[in-house]
Amino acid sequence: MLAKKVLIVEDETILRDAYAIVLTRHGYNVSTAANGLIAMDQIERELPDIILLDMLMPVMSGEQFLDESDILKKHKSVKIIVYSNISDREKVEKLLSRGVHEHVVKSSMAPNQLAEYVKNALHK
Amino acid sequence: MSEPKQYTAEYIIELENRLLEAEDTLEAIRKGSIDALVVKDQTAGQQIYTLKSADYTYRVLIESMSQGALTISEEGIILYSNNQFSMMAEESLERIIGRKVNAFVYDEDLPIVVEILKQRSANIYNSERTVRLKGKSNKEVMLSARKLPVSNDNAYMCLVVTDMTERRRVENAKDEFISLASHQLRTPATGVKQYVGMLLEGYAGELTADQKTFAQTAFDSNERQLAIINSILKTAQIDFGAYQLKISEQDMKQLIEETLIAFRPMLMMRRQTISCEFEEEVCAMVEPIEISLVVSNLIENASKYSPEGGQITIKLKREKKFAIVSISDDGVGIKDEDHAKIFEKFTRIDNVLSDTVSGSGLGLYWVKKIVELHGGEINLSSMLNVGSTFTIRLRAC
Repeated sequence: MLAKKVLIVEDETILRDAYAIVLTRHGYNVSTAANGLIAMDQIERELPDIILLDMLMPVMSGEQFLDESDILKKHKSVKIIVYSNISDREKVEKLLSRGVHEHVVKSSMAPNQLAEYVKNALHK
Repeated sequence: MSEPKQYTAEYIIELENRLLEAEDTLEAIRKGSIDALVVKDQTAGQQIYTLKSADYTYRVLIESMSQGALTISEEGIILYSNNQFSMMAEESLERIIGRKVNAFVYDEDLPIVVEILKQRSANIYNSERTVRLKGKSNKEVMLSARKLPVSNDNAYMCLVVTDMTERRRVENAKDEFISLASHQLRTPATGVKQYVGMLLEGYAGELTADQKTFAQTAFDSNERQLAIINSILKTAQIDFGAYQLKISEQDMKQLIEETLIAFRPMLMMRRQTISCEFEEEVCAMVEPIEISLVVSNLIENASKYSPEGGQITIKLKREKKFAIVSISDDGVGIKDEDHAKIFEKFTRIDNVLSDTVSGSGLGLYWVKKIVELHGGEINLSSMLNVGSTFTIRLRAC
């Protein structure tokens, strides 16, 4: 079976690398983007199975990426996990109602938990 | 023209006495203990001279204060106002003196003024309350009241009025800085969590027992740092006023019981017992997540500041229109003078356990704010070395 494709969209290099190492070890085919704009370009070239999307990013934020790419409507099969430190519940609820699979608080997530979230999202 | 006086011995004694009297009067004037002089004159009758010079220096001081200063009567009528207050109230002095102080305060804040005026029965009353002044700028000011000793059955009060605009600006800038700094601190701390976590979870190969212990200690310490950063951010959010509650009807017994589940392991480890005295069907209008966190915070404190084997009691009852939750411990207790301080931001009280128990000094500040956002209140009764009881009153439904 072909490895599932994960796109990590995160502006912090150290976190982007950490998540990439963890998910590669768990057998995923990982690609990365440093902001929403680069992610737009990536999904044009190759559609991933799941996107890990940070919210606060320079150039293009996670929210802008969802609006601009319209991925939630255009590619319903692509799972999206928003992981951020935003604690604004209203914002989170809005994201979930738009079709985002899950919201994870970045600072509360240990490496293996990340792998667990990805696995669960892909199996649903 | 009258006859020149003969300088008889009697006349000289009389002159000496008058001189002594005049010297005494001068001395009294210098000391400021004379407000006015009554001079009897054969031709002009009785004349009163007010001694402006006696309080001149104080007047200059009061007029050059950056705060407003008022003297008010028992009924709240302004007897004296300095120029600074006139500028704050955006009214001329003529339109201030003789009017009631209430006329300058926003209607919604009038109960605070009434309360200040009511407290006059006390000998000396010192209070600081914030109200908004009427006028274009709608200034927020702090009133510091001080009752003067009663003279001739007249009770006066001095009010010092401090403009809070600048203070608020500084506070907001500080809150903004804290929020920004915390955001910036959270990212590297999250990085540490990921990489140390990867070490612990074997992503870099098996660790020796020592390596594992060291990495775990680093991980735990970083977790504590993240918790502090998160509580600072949460507090900043409340202080900004950017906190919206989603209130709904909640069964308080169920809410507390669910909250308690997470504490069982911690309490078992510390051999502490918890006893619950819950009335059935106590319903309150609350945001369940936040009130659960409030209760968690209080239980955690009760456990942390109690000895091993201690007893924690949680009570829930309905009293008229309120749902009342109280959390008691038999721990170190809090000194009387610290009771008010304990709900302040970044406050940690010195006690026998404060060196070993960790905390950000934000927990109870946050708890109080959340309870107050619900329109409720929190009280503390505590005795040193006996224990503490925190009681929350929330709106019942």
